[in-house]
Amino acid sequence: MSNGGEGNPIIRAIKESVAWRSLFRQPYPTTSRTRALAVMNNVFLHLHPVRVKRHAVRYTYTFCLGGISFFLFLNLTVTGLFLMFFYVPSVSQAYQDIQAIEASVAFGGFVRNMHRWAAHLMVLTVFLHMIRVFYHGAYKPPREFNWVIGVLLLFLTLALSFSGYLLPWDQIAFWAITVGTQLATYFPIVADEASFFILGGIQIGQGTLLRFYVAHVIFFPLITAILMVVHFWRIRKDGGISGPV
Amino acid sequence: MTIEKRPNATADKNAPTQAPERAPVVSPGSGPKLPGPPGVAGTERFRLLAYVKQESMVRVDKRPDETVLTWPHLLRAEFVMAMLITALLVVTSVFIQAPLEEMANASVTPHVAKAPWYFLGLQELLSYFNVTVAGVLVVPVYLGGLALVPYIDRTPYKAIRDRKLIWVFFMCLMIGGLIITFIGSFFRGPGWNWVWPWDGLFFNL
Repeated sequence: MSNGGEGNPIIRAIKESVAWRSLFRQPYPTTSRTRALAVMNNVFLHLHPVRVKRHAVRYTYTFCLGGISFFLFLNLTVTGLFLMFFYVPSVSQAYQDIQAIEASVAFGGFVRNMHRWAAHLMVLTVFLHMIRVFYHGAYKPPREFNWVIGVLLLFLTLALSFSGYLLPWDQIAFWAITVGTQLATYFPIVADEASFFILGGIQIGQGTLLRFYVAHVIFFPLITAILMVVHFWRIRKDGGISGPV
Repeated sequence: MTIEKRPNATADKNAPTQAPERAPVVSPGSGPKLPGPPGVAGTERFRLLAYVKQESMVRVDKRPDETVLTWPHLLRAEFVMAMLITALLVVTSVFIQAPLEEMANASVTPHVAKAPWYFLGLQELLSYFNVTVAGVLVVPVYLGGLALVPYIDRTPYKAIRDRKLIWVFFMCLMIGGLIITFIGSFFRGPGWNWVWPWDGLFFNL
């Protein structure tokens, strides 16, 4: 696998070309040293430490729930970006756009389905990740504040899901958000202001749709991405994931 | 007991062995002996540095750090999981359609208006309590309660049996939330009246 095609002169010529060598700074890593370098020298891989605790790679220790949540976030970013090309956040057009995505966009229905199911799954995996972390007592010092960041990320996951719920502008979306946002009208003292702030008007309409759209596609994802960076960074700084009970 | 061997105690001017009559002098022969030149058997001095309990001796002996290389071990696990989740999403997305009803219409109220499933516990609470209490206090108290977990539980232990208080607190939040979400999802119908799931399901994802 590692030296695949070495005997083939064409593949060898490609691998020895200037372009290939500029792209891959080292051959496929097969020794401890080159494997360590591979993780250190790659901007995406260097999110990881070079070595991890043996128990940390067991599926049954973490069930990969945090990683799955992050993977779903990436999936939702890609599928969401695709959907944005075909969607206009306007009360007169949004619903027709969803119908058009399902009917006439190549893979449109498939991508919309994936965006929706991945979103529901992410709410679930974030909750399960929290329960797993609690079970292992991984919020213990020095990881207390990373737990707090995790709770904020849970809140943001719910906010992302809730703000996306309105966008299809069908009856499910409209009335679910009506019920959800009515809570704001029960705030003490600032009820009217809170309601207006969330709805962008006195009732759900164009202002709400635009507000939820902007929150859904840029505001919440950006805050979530920033907090995820802090979340991952702190895991590294606190000496990797917690030990077994 | 941890005993430090001091082959040349007299050379160390700061050592507490300056009081020879109080320091235990151990030698193969009988009776105390004066410190001799370094490396000469039978002339070493020893002193007691610390008394270490048996349990902690076991931990000292354990290998401190068992690690594996990220490449390939962790990356392989991540790749396998990413492929499994992708496969799950592809199959789900091919065979299960995301719901889409008629276009939003503020003048047509549906029989049952439900929030997204993760808020149905909250909606269920709304039917029990004053709206200000349920609607406005529950969410901050719930999330705040979760955020405070590491500050409530200050015990150094990780095993569940050693932190029962926080376990009960957390499980109340989780199981309580699960039960009311379940009721709100599958046992509530038009007018938020009780409906058994086999009499009609009012649930959208």
